[in-house]
This record gives sequence, C-alpha cells and structure tokens, in this order.
Amino acid sequence: MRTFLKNALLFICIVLLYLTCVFAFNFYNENHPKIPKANILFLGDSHIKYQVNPDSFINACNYGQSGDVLIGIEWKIRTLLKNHNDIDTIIIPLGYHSFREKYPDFFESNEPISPKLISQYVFINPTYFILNKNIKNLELLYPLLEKIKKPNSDLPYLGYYIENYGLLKDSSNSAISRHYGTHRFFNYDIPNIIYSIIQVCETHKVKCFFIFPPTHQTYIKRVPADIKMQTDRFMNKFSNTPYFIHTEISLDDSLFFDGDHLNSEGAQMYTHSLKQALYNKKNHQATL
Amino acid sequence: MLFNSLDFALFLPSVFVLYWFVFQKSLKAQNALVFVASYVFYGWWDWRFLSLILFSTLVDFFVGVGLGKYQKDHQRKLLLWTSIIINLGFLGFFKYYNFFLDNFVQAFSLLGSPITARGLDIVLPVGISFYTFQTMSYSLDVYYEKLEPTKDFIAFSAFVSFFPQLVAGPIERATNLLPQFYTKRNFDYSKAVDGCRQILWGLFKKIVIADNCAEYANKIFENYQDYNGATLFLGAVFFAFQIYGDFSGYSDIAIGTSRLFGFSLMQNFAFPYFSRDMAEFWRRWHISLSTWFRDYVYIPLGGSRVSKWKQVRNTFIIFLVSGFWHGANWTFIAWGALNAIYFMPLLLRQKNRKNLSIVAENKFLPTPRELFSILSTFALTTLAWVFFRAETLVKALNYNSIILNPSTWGFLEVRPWYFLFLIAIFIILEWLGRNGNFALQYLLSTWKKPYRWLFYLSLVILTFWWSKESNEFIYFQF
Repeated sequence: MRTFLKNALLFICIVLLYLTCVFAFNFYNENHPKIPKANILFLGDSHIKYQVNPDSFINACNYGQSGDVLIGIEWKIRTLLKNHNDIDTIIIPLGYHSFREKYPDFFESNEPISPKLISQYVFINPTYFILNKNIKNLELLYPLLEKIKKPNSDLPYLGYYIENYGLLKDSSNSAISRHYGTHRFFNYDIPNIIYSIIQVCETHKVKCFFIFPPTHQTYIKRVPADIKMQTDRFMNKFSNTPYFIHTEISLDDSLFFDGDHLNSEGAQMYTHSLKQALYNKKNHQATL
Repeated sequence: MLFNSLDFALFLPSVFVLYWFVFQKSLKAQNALVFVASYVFYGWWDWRFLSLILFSTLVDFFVGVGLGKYQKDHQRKLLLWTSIIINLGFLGFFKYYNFFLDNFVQAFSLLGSPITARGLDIVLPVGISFYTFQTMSYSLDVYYEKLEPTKDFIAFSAFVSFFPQLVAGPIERATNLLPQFYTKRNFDYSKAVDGCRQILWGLFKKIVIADNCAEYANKIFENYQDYNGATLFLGAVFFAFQIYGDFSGYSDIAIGTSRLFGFSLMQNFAFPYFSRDMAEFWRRWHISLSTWFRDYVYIPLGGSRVSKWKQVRNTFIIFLVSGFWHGANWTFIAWGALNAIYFMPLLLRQKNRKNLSIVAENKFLPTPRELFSILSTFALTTLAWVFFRAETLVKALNYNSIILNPSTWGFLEVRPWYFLFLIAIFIILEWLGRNGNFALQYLLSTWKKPYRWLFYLSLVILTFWWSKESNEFIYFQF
C-alpha cells in the first residue's frame, strides 16, 4: 500500500506540476498580451475573424473571436483602449444574429455558461474544468475576460473554413438554429450596447465603424421574422449615421462557404471592398 | 456523478482512503461503506430514484430468501416470476411506456379507428437497464441453484448498487460479484496499479476518442443530406469509434475502479473491432450483456441444441431483445435485426464458432486474409451503427442508401487530419495490446519505469488538450 500511495502521489504531483507550468505560462501570456501596435482594430465574431484579412490594411490587427458577442466586445474595447494609445479606428460587425432576444444568453441564463465561450477567453483547461460549472453571469466572467489574448493566432484569416475547419458544408438551417435557437424576438437592449460602444470610442477619440457582413439569401429568408423586421428597421436608421460603413459588393453562391460565412475567395473580395469603403469614409471624415 | 468530472476525481480518493484506512478491519464495515458510497454516487444525479434501486434490492433479496426456504416447484416459480415481473415492470414503465403507447395510437390510426392517448412525461432513471438485469441475475441464479441465497442484506445491497458499474455496467453476474462481498479483500499492489492504468486508458478513450468523434459524427449525421457517400461513411466510422470509446472507456474506468477496491469485474470489451466475423464481434462487444442474454434467454429457449429453425428463431429473439434493451425506438430494433441477419450465414453454415482466439495471436501483423475479414466485419458493423445513431428509421435508410450508392462517393468533405492521425495511433495501441484485457495491460510491461511514466503523462496531457465540455456517457440512457 505504501509503495502504491507513494507512486500515485508522485504521479499526481508530476501531473499537477505540468498543469501549474501550463497555467503559469498562459497566465503570463494573458497578462502580457503581445498586441502588435495597430491603428486599425477589427473586433467581432467569426464574420470578422475569418472574413477580413488585416494584412490588406495598413497597420491593422484582427482580434475577432468566433461566437463573440457585442456585450463582450464592448468590454474588450474598454479594456484595450485603456492600455493601447495607438488604436485610432475600430471596426465591428453586426448581423441579424447580433440582435436576437436574450442575445448574451451565455450570461443571463441559469444554466452553466457555455464552456465553448469560456474556452475562447480562457485557454487553459484546468481553470475551465473547475470554473465552467460555477460561472453563471457576466459579472463573474469579467475577471476571466481580463485575461484577454489574441486567439488562435496561428490560424489564417482567410480560407480557414476550407483548410482547417474540416466541414465544408453547413446548411443555413444549422446556422439558423446555432444563432437563434429558441430566441425568436428582437432584443431591444442591443442598440444600447451599440451606442455604448460608440460612446466609449468617442471618449478615447477613436473612430468606430460598424459593418454588416454579407449573408446568403437562404439564411436571410430563415431569420426569425421579428428579428429580421426590427433589425432592418434599426439598420435603416443606423446605416445613415457616420458610424456605419457600406460595402459595395455582389456575391454569388460560389463565394459562400455556408449560409453566413464567405469562403476564402469571397472573404478576399469582401476585404477589398471593405478597405475601399473604409478609406473613403476616413478621407471624408477627419474626425467623428 | 460522471467518471470524467471533478466530483468523481474527489469522490474516488475519499472513498479509497476510507475503505483502506478507516474501515479495513471489518468486512461488514467495508461493505457498508461501498453501499453508502454507491448510493451517494447515484444520488448525486437524482436522489429520488434511489428508492427504485432500494425497492428492487429489497424485492430480490426477499425473493432469494424465499427461494432458499421453499422447495416446491410452483412456489419457487411464483417467487421467480414476482422478481421478473416487478423488475421488468419498472423497466417497462420508465423506458417503454411512451413507446408502446405511441405505437398503439399509430396502429389504431392505421386501422382506421384513431384513438387519442396522452403520453407521460417520464424521466428515465440512469442505468435502470443495467441494475435491473444485474439484480434479476441474482434471482435467476438462485432459482437455478447456481448460487446460495444470501442473508447478508448489506452485502447484497452493495452488490446491486456497486458504484463503479452501477449506471453503465459491466452487468455483473451474481455468481461472480456477490461472493466477492463475502470474502476479505486485501490490498494488492499489482491489481491496484493495473486498475489505475485501466482508468487512465478508459478516460483517454472517453475524453479524447469518443468526445471528439462525437463532434464530427454529430455534425455529419445532422446534415447528412449535404455530404457525399465517402463523408457519410466517415461519419458512421466516427460514430463507431465514438460508441466504442464511450462505452468501453466507461467499462475500463469501472473495472479499474473496482480493482482499486479489491474487486474483479468481468471483461466487457475484448477489442471487438479486430473481429474477423460478426459472431466473433458479438463475443467481444458488450460481453456482459451478450452473455446475460445467452445464459438467461438463449439457453432456456433451447440454445443451439434444438433444430436449425429454432436456432434461427432463438438468435433473432436474442438480437431483437438486445436491440430493444438499448432503447424504445424502432431504430434499435432494426439495428438488432440487421445484426441477426449478419449472423445468419455463419449460424446456418455452422461457422459461428470459427474464430475463438484473438486475431494474429503471437504475430505482429495479420495475414491479408485476416485483414480483409477484419475490415469487412468493421464495415458491416459500421453500417449497422447508422441505425443505432439515427433518430428515425427513414433517416438511417437514407443515410445508408447514400453510402451504398457508388455514384455519391467523392473526396472527403470532412478532413480533420490531426484527429484522424490520433485515431490511427489509438488503433495501433489497441492492436499492440490486444492480448491483454485492455490495451495498456501488458503493452508497457517491458518498458523501464521512466518511459512508462512518460507514456502515462503523455496520455494525461493528450486528455487535457483534447478534452471537450464534460459529456455524459451514451450508455447512461440505456
């Protein structure tokens, strides 16, 4: 028994030592994020992460994270602008799914928070194992969000779905259920979050632009009626403000990866169009 | 409580310490601890269903006492049937009530006399099929006089609710497990180390192989109409590894945990995907259930000592009941029927006991003929798994019809190369370790300790790196 306990404890200690090293490494990286000096910052979900190539812009950085939500983005902007004076422009995507009812349901429900979301913010599994059952609201999540780091930095911005994701097809149906689930109604809190983002940027004298990345017609047809109608109504007004960038681009089926994501060719075209639109906008507006 | 959870990581060492350091002097105290720990383990999920296990335990305990007391045949039969009816009654109500109700309603509608009936919102108690069969095995063994009835209620309760295998097996036979509760258990170093190794391998199979396969299998099955035949076949292969990793992983953890407490459970999986024919597959897959049906259904029906036609009938009964045991859905029945059909040529040609030893015994590689047999058996099994996985019969048939249509085949549309590489490593390890009860049992025995530990550490690291959110084991639902 003594030999068994000695060996078992020794092995557990080695495992714990390994986990501690990984945790310390990640903790250090998270607290010392290697954010390159950038003037233009792209924030948002997969529609930014895999559809905008920052290399096409001068001094730009893409911090998109799949599944990110506006309330998280707002917090990120506040945190980043505190420490990074170089940023002068921030670009954020909106989509129909941005406006869904109980949009940040990761934070509001009584269910344990989506481990997928946590794993995007907090890389290391030991913390995730321990915490994923207990974190139930945004306030508790905030300390974790403090450890912001550039996610998946080794992945390409474009062509990711084809080369890495492995699943080439994702029907509009599954995109709809992924985005809306049981939430069929417009969330009236979202415009407030958008205005809050604008306010934070103005406080830091940073230009803030929203974009509406392209989605396939089959997807748009399936968006819940209330969300579609109210979002269109909001966007009709909002798109006339200086905070919105229109992109002129016509995309056929061959440029889509699935219902709501472009493939690498489509993303390259979209990046190009966005670049044109952004520089036109910046040229016309010295300040906001 | 899930084996792959923090709760269990704390629960297991606590019970281990109490078992070997606090209660080690008294066998009764150790049994009582196992009994209490098992109820805590089960109650962690839903304490209300503890009453079901307790009731089932009480019924079979007193049936056993009665069988020991009464000698007349009709009295003994009455007692046995009491146990069977109560146990299967619970199982039938919780698991099959809504299925039968829905089918009755549909049958009447088809006959032109539509009726309405409201189904009940029934929560299926986790592992009910497992502990029901385990406790019934006791009454059956006592009835057939293979076992003396016990008078030790605590030992019997601990046997019925033994936490390592309570919710997903192996379904232990009373003749094997119950006597272990009567004899003093001594700590055995090599048994305990072997147990830890088996737990580690089980966790790897569950967390790395099964949970990751599940992600791809789910996506492909959910959108199966969008993919070509090759990709759908890959989806079915992913599911084949998912269910193997999930269920054999659970069994490994259960057997390994039992060994830490000085118990020996039966082997539940013996490298089934290296089988050369379907008969061998069924001798190697979910052994505790197959042998349960063999001992308590197939043999009482006459087994193989009856006419050919009756053997065919008995085989179909076994496979259909086995399919139905897995779930109240026609897909499971179809899965059972398909396996019975696969089995028939072997039975009719009396080749069903051809491959009794492990493939390529004492050899490094199989012969081309053996390899072909293994691959074709695996392909047949995989096609049958589609019925097991699909929500409806129509979906399963559509799925398989795309796979079986050569014109739909093309280049794989799902290509998780890294993960496929990991699966390949897993298959190699299983192949190299196929002479043991589990892959790692003898595989590393000639390695020096630092290398062995390095290997274990690599498994731990891989398990952390590839871990997903804590998923339930598939077989809990059965």
